[in-house]
Amino acid sequence: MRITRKKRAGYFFSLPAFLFMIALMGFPILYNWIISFQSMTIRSFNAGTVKFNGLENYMEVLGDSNFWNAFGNTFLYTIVCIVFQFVIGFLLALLFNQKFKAARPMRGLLVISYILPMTVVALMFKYIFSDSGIVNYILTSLNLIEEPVQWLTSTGMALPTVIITNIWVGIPFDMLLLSTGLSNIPADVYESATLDGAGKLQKFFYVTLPMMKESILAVLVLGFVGTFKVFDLVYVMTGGGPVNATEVLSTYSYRESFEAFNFGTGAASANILFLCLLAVGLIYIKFVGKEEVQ
Amino acid sequence: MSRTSVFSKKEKKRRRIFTIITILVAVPLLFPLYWIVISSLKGDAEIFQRIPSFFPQKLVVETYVSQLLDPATLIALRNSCIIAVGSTAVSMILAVPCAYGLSRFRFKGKKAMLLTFLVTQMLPSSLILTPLYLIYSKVGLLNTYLAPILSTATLSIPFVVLMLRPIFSGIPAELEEAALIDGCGRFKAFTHIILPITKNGTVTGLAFSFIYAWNDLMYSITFNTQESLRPMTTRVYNFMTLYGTKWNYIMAYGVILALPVLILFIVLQKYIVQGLVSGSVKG
Amino acid sequence: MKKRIVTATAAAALFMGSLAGCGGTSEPSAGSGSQASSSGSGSGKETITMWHALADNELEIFQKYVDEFNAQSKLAEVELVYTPADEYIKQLTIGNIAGDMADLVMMDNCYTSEFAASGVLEDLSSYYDEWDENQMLEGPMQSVIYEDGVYGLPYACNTIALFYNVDMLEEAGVEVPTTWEELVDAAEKLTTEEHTGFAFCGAKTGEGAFQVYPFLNQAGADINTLDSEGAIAAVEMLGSMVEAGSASKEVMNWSQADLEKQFAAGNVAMIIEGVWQIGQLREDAPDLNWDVAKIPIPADGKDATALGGENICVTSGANTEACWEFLSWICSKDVSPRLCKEMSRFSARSDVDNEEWFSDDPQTLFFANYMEYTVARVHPRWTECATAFEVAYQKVFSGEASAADAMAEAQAEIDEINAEE
Repeated sequence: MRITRKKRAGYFFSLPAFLFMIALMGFPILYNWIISFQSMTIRSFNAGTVKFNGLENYMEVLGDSNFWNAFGNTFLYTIVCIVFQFVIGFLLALLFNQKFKAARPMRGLLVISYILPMTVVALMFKYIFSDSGIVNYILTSLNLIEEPVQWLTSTGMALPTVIITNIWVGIPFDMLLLSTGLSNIPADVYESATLDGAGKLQKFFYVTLPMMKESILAVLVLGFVGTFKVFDLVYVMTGGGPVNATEVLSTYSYRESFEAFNFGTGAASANILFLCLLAVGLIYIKFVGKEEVQ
Repeated sequence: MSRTSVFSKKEKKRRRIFTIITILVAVPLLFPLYWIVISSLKGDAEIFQRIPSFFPQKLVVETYVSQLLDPATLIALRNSCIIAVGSTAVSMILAVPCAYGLSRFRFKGKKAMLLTFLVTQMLPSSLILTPLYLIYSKVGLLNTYLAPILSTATLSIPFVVLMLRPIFSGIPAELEEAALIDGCGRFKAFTHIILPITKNGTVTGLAFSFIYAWNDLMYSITFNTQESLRPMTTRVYNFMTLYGTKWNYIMAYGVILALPVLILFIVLQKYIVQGLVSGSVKG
Repeated sequence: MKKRIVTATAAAALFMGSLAGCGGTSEPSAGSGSQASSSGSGSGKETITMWHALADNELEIFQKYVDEFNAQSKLAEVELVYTPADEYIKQLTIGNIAGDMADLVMMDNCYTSEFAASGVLEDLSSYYDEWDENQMLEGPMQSVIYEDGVYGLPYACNTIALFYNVDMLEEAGVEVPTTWEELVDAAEKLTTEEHTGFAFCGAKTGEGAFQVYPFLNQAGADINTLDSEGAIAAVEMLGSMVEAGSASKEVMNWSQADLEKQFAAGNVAMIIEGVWQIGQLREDAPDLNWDVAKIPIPADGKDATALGGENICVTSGANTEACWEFLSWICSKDVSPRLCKEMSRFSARSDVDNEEWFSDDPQTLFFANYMEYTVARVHPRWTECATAFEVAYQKVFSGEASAADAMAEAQAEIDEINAEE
């Protein structure tokens, strides 16, 4: 009796959002899978000669060296961003969790970088990091560098520069969500830990971290998904260049679809991106599953 | 008595250290923001000067005035509000109960559901434009506010669900059990007992949903060809024309665009931090 | 808090409901002009929608002419729908796939052959041949012709040339360069602490390809012969200036608009720039002493410059007759020169007397006459080929590969594309 009621309640609360997502996103995902197995280009579409072509699109994408370049860049980009965002964000969350006057206004100010639309951020950093921009000016004035660094115009520095920008945008994201997680730890848990004679570090490792495990997982997985499909920032800052130094999977598949007008390979490359994220999603679900059993 | 005074001295020192750390961290993080504001107040010539000035030599407010006096900006701002409020409403109404349901109850397909929320946001937005366009075209939603509202809700719903679920899990189940015994329905227990406790998490989710919708550019521009329906974000192209990127105007535009959200955040921060403060006061 | 959320939601829902309601009835859905009967002022005129990417005052001017057309036409009522330039091609593509296209589309001329080859556009050759005012310039017409079909009309054109800072050249005792050799030499002499000698747009964008391409044309090369001696020499020549520092590395990032700002600010002595920036330049730097000249050419080369501007095309399935009425009107001898002059562009007509129209402005007049040397960017898969080209010249400018290697690699890609054709 109790269990069935609980079950029904579960569906009652959860189904509407689930159905909404399926209604809106089910078709787009399916559509992408279907056309990724078809010879769908703007031409074949208008000529009515779209055919099933098996794995041809995938083979074409996997045989393209620029795809692998984009693939590697995407992973590098995501992992570096996530690590820095998370560590800095967590430290800031802990810092602002302390009671002192500057905490609240500072946290408010730091959030702004996440509020700004990506396009504006991308343009701003393009301006800041130009060869004769303010960053080079400051660094040369401080005698830290002799020659201006070619932040966005050299193939070696462009990706790190875009990564720095993304980290700047992402820090408040991690900071805020982890702050929320921190504030949800009941104070009495710390009290009892203090009574047990736990030091600060011990409290962090034995109380804070375990209590925040789920929040941390959520932040990491959300951050990963968001960063992995980064588009606007790269597209506006470098357009994937110079040469192909900042090409990532999302810009690659965008190019295939809207520059080469080959929707089949565009969808195929997007689906490979999708599969990578799916793997991350499954790992997350596995972790969540463990929690539930305990 | 003496113990308290020692404690407060230590406490003062501790606070001072934190303030110093904060300043050290804040300078590099806030500098780009400072630069945005400063650039928005510079004239064209000063923007392209070889040696950059850290403060405008001549304060130019034209960048703001001309935008704020343009009726098109006001229409765009109104559209942004409609889209952001609408999308936030849709996403909160659907996602908050969903997160609760997924954290509290055991039922078949729960994991599949969680995975679905993750999976549905795994394709880059640019790739789902065409199929979404097809759907909206079929049901007649092109050139309505609903198109960007629903589309942006698909970004924020998974976010809110995944973010709130652990927070709901942290609430001891005994709380609602007690309410249930008192004769409350499940839903009433949720709205009256759980929501107030998890206010800070919910408000954070709300703020993020708002940002997602407020900053949407792609969906609005693709689904709404009528300019009268387009939000503030699309106006960035007014400053990125063939004839030049008007840096100062873009920066001013960025400030104008971010300001309403910033105000929202400041107002909401009270709620976000409240849980925190009440916790430490008790401690 | 909860109460507030609920009220806000209810209000939003009500609002949204009413909006969705009127959305369904009042506006003709963008695209498909086939519901003529429902709209219009009862005169039985067909509503023709036209997509464009014109912004601000350009749109104002164009709208004025559209109104003029609408007032006198018995067949058609043209309605403009704006999409920003950066989103434009994507929007066209999605509209095409969704079967939700406008009747008329304005597009940068480099896309016309591509969309024509894709079967998106209507062949207008029968109308064009019968048109008694079909005296058009050859370069612009090249851009609308694909396999003997005429897939639109060039309604307005423009081009690029060399802008130079007269004072800086005088100070350095440098003559205006006319050959590549002189250009490289002048750029070096004009590079000081305060400014670099030369700049062009070498970004990884259509704009970059637009500016670098004419150098290839001058040496007798084109998009299908990127590995030819001339093409390699062109990219090598530009790259040598970047390497020597007489052109900033930033050319790999600057847009043409950025170039104008740099030039106006006195940060660079010579730039390749479009005629459309003249107005902006005069506004930004009213006291700057500058002039224009032909783009320097190789010793044994010929004059060539880029063909910019837009074509207006009819999408397949649209009411061609009504669309043609508008097209032939806007490109007519009576309308085209005044429209183009107002929009700071050039008419694609061959029967316009430049001296008469531009005698008041020597720099613009120079451009009007320079139009003669424009070369259209034509390839049925232009965008893809251009991307290969962009990657190649960026490799050279960044010093990552030699011109010969980079261009050969790009040509191999284009050969592959051509093989698929």
